[in-house]
Amino acid sequence: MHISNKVLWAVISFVLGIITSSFFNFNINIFIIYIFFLIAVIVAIFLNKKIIIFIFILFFILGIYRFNLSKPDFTSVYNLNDSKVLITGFVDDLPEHKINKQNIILNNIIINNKNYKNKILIITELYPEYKINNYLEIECDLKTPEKFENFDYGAYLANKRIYKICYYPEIKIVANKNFTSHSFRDGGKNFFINLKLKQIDLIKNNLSPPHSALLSAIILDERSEMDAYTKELFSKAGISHIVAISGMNMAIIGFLIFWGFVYLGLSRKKSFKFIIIFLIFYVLLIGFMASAIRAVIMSLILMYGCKEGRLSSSTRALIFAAGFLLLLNPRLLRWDVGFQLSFLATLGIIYFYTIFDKWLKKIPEKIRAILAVTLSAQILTLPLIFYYFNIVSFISLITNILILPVLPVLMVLGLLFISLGFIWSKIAVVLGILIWGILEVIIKISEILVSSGFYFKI
Amino acid sequence: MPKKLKIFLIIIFFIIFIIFCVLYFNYNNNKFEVIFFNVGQGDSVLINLPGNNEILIDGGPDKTVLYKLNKYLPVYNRDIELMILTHPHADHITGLIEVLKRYNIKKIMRTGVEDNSEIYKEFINISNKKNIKIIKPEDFDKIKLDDKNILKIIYPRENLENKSFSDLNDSSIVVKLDTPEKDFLFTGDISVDIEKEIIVNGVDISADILKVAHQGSNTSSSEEFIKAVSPAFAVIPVGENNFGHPSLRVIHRLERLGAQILRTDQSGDIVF
Repeated sequence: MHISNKVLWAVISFVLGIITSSFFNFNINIFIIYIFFLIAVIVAIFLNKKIIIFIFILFFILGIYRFNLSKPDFTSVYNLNDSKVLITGFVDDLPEHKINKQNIILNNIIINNKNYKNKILIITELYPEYKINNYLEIECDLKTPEKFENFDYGAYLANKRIYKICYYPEIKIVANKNFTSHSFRDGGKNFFINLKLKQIDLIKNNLSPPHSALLSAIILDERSEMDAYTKELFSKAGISHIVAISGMNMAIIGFLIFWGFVYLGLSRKKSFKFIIIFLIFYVLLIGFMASAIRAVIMSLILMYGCKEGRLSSSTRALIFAAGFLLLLNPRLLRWDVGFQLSFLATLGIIYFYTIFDKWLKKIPEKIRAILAVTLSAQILTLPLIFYYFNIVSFISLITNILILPVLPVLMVLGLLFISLGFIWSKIAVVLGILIWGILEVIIKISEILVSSGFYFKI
Repeated sequence: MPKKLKIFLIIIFFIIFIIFCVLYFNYNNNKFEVIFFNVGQGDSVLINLPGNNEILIDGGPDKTVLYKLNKYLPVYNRDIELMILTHPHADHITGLIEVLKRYNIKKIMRTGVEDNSEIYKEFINISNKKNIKIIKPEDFDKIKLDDKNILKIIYPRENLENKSFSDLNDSSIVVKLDTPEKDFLFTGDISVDIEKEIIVNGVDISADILKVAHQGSNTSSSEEFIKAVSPAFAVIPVGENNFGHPSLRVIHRLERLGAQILRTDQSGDIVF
């Protein structure tokens, strides 16, 4: 067996290990791992040269072990009772300014003179607005997140290592963390956060919600301004995926831009280069966000297949990427909808694009590419969307075919907007109007199609 | 390649052209509108005068007002000529803060009454930071908005700067919009006491459309006051609440005195 195949099997068994432990509760410790390791060695020795079985068992166990490391340990906030406590900590990320409340995530928290590594979510009034790096002291009534109807809020928050929430506590700003004296990494983080804040302001000063909220969600992954009406509208229309920087989204956008270049006469190799430059520029501009990097990885994997002219050559890269992302955070697999959708959409495009392309032979080439990519991206994600959102949108096919082609245009205009807008405010106004127009068309199309009632909700 | 590129560019310019056409036809600059926004339990009114001339009275209890402005103002219009803060209660001021941040406000009219809430501090901070001109209601009897429309200041007639009120509602700015066709009276949250004071002052407060004070609470809208206004329409901006707003007694009183009741919680945005 070729060496790269062995690595591939190692990754697959690692992922299988994570899958198994995500769904069955194993309380595994080093001792058990050691025993399994011994068994693996013995098996490998007895079944001469069957090293693959050894690799399989070893990485399977490593997968289980990695997952176990991600569980809340006994020193975590998870084990605290719901009670009144005094908490101090840093505001860790940009507070989310919702329509009628503010969500703050507190990190490096100290409760009763004890340090915790977890974060706490604070929900409070709109004003005063708290800022990142504020050091807060709060009188908190700890609450464990509860399940809404179908949505496991607790599991969702646990992905971000948040196990407790404070609703409308007394808050005092004690101090501000000063970044300039800190490390290079902090300085970088500070730079990109300031950049992002400026970009958000630029959007807010030129557009109003829901358009501003949609634009920040689509290009900056900043969804705090999204309102319930638009969310529901998009989920009924089957286009919720466009309001996040997801692999699904980026894969489709990258794919369409790639074929756009090819259509304009560029070679596949050159198109691939342009896509790489575009994606790097994009990641730089929005400040190396984790979600963006993840999405760009998915997109690049697909583009590689496009360049090679054989989409299936992307499979291996996709599995490696999934393994790598799960190594960083194994909880993504079961509890992160975005990860699941991205992976399945990319997988769908890789395997079903050519099939749909063949089926739709009679349709003109340009439309066929769009049709085939929307269909193949959705074929594996539909069951999942039904499972999570209890909506089967029969119109989603139509909305996606109408809306996905303008997504790359929106993306490019949005990026021009947040880069050129700083230099010349007139440009921002003109681009803002164009973006508004596109978003308005997207909203109107969804409204018209949703009013037809062809969606199915449990 | 050049031919394909040409087609590509033509399509793009065509799309841009369509967008601008839609914009142009969608927004007729010469219309006159007064819109009572449905912002839930709170007040927010936009007076949209011909020629991109807007007055925003209060902003409601959350950021909903932004959605409303987006709906009723063209995307390129980021200017609001005058913002009136009737009084600094959360259900009137909250939405204004976000409007202050995101729109270009030319002037703010406020009383400057004493209030220590965080929200009011934020309002003052932002208006100072953006260097927005502040005007005081007592300095004007009327403001000529254009050659037809006049904004009359009914209350307060004295300087309330840093004055403390046991009930901030009673510091509300009351204005009347005089137009050739119909008159509007905006009452903020004034209580019966202030209504009396206004009647005693002897100003003409008769109007076709009355914004009912304080979400139709029974502490406002006395019989004498409504008689003096004698409105054809009484608009009650109200949302879900635990205060029993609007009061049934007030509704009956308004109906008995010949006013048709319009509620934002039932009709959504109310446009005149």
